[in-house]
Amino acid sequence: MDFIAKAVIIGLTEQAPLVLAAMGMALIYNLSKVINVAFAETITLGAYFAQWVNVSFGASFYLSLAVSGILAGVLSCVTYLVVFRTADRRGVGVVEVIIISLGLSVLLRYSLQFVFGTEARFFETPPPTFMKLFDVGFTSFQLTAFILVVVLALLIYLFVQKTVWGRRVRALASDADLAKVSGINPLLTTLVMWFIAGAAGGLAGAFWGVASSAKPGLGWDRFLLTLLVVLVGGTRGLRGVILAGMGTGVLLSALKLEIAPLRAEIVLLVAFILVLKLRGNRFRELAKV
Amino acid sequence: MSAVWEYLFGSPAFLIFGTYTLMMIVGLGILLHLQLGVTGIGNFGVAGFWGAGLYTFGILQVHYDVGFWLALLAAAAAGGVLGLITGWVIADLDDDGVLAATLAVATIVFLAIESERDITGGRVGLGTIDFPFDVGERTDLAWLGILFGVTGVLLWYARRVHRSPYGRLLIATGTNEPLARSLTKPAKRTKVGVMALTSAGMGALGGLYGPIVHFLFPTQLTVAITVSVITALVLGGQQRPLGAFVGAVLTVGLFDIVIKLYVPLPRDVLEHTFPVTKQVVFGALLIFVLLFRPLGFLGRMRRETHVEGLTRV
Amino acid sequence: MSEGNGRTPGGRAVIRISGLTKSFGEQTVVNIDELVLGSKRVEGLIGPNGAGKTTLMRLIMRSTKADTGTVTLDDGSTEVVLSKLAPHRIASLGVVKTNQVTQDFAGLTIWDSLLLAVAQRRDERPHRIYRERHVVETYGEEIQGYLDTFEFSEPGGFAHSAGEKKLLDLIRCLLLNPKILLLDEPTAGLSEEVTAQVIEMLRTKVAEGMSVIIVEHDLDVIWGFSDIVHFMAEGDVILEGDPAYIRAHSTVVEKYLGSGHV
Repeated sequence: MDFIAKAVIIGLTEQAPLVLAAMGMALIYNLSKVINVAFAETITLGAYFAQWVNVSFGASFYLSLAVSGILAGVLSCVTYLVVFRTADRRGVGVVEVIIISLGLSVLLRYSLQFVFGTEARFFETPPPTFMKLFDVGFTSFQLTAFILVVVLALLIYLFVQKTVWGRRVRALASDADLAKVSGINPLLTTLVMWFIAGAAGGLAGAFWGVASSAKPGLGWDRFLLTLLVVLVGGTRGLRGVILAGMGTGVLLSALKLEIAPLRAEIVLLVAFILVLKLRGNRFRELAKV
Repeated sequence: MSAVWEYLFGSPAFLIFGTYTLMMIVGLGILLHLQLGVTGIGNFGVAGFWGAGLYTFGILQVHYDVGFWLALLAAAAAGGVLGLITGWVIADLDDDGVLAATLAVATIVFLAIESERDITGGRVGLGTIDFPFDVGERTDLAWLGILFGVTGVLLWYARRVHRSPYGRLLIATGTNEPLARSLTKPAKRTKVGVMALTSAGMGALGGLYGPIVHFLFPTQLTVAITVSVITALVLGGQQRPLGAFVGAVLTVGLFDIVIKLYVPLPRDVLEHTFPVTKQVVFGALLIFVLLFRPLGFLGRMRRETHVEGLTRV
Repeated sequence: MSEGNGRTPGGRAVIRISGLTKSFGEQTVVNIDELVLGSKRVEGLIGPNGAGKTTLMRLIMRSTKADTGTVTLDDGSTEVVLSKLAPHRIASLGVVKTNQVTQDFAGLTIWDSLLLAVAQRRDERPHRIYRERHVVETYGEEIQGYLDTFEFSEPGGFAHSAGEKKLLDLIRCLLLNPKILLLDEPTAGLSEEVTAQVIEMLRTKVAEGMSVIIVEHDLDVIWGFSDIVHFMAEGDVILEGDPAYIRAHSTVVEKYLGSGHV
């Protein structure tokens, strides 16, 4: 019981941003059928934006969070308009779009180093208070982050499930031509989704950044896990992504309680690979031979 | 005369090292061509298969005094087994799953090397590894000759594959897997096979890289290697055996040989700005080439002339 | 051409279907209790759109998986349960299907595509990099024969029109020397002249011992070519008989012919 409680608390507080990042990536994946490797850089930039606003303007973490989310959302829209929309219009294949997004990721990651340098950049936040639950220590900051992530995830979920935008997105994702005929503006709808996705990624980055620091590899280091959560959980919609994200956090912290952290990550990746393998055939029914 | 020599090859050690890198990228690129350009498998974990070979080779040489040939064979086997497992995993995944699985395999290799310090040395490094022979001062040049030979053999093989029933099977599997299956072709087995074979090649190339660096670090296996290989192949033309060569000369050749050796850059720029700029250019190249000239410099796979030749056999 | 393709002298190979069902969501597309296909040389399969003809064929080939039921290949001496095999194994056993929706290999020329079909497993090993000559020498003439029969605008290059791709699809299947060939609208999109050529070619193959099961909307082809016709509606075969019987049957007229279909 103690072990489970520990794993759950550490997993949820430490990996809460993963849920947010995975939701963002899943929104793009479901709508545009694109795995966007450069989403890693949206996360990184979220951290940098928040740190910049926080330190340069002396803004509170919460204000810098809001600004960072908006800026990351705008960046996401720009990458859609400049790169992914062009690729879509030119009929570029799936693997090629992935490679393009890899190129964009590399381009952004290294261009950023001209702006922000390679050194880790730290936030200026009031020292957190330490708390305990079931003998597990965590900071007030982690708790706030966790609550904020839950609220934000819920907002995104409700937005996609309950508002008119969500219906438009689902219509667009299932049949673009039909959606256009029924009066949905595809560009606007797509931009709204890419904005929300980018904002979610940026906020995740800001939370990760404030927990450690903003640095060039922040997003890339977390990209693979985010991608796996999206692919494994995404088959069951946003709810699946949220569950897979939380499950991954808990599983990882449980493993780390038992074995060395690097080995825990290896075990987690092997588990993900096996899950991918096991549900592999599910989408193959479409081939019309 | 010696002044000219001095200008062109002023620092032979640097030139040779740059050419080593070039040959590695070309070799890996030819193998990736068989995976991506021919069979349509987007392998984003090239560094992992290569690194598995590199470290297998290093561990056997450093800790167990295993001879060169046996260690090289083991390096190939390590890459091959990893490729076999990866192939089995991705055989029925779509492109997104292949991306995730290959990236995950490379990450696992990287994490395992960092984590199992007792045998890999972790971040402290693993060494030293020497050339398997010593022909005096220009042993490195002799090694370069061997690398040229190996790359040449890979290129020859890739070109032969294009002209063989095996190549046709790979292309068919890559372009329309269900149709290939309906024509008695075992698509999954084909994909597993090509992954095992080409990954073994990547592992062997990793083994050959060991003596070049003498000391192994996990940082040598980052995604930067994969990005360089993909950039070279995509720029040159992913569907053509020579694509990786042309692309590598234009990217690695330009950056790691021409600019590094012959453009007088301040030391500070060379150490800090230069490598970052290189990655920015690689990223931009990937985007522009795939958006506006998706088949790269060399263009579409040549089938027509080759078949006309065939009918005259 | 592949393993197990030698026809047994004792009778024709037949496909036995038992308890086969397939639903997409709420809708049951195929629901067949018992059905034997292939006991006559040419069997037509007709029925209104959505009757489940194409799905039935895809279920036999296992390009789509059945919800329940088994499909067995019985060649008189041995029985093989097809519904447990991978699609390429089914094709290897001599059960082959052409495609309703045009299918092609984007990277392969016409010659390539046909050489692919005839090449054996042993020709396609990674180390057999000088095997091309052998394959061309062994099968080149047979391929050339097809290319002489059917006209392609550029036989050395790629198939251009949908019609050429359709023909290519058929020739690929014929090159496999199937025991049972399933044809899913083989003449759709072909000119009258080419359709006649295709039927002529199929008649020759049938005379040599191949069985044909054909789905076709051009009913003249069905009436003229089939020995027996199965009439499908709502996922099941509800009538079987010779073309004249089916053609005149009130149910068929009411459900299919009379509705202005064709």
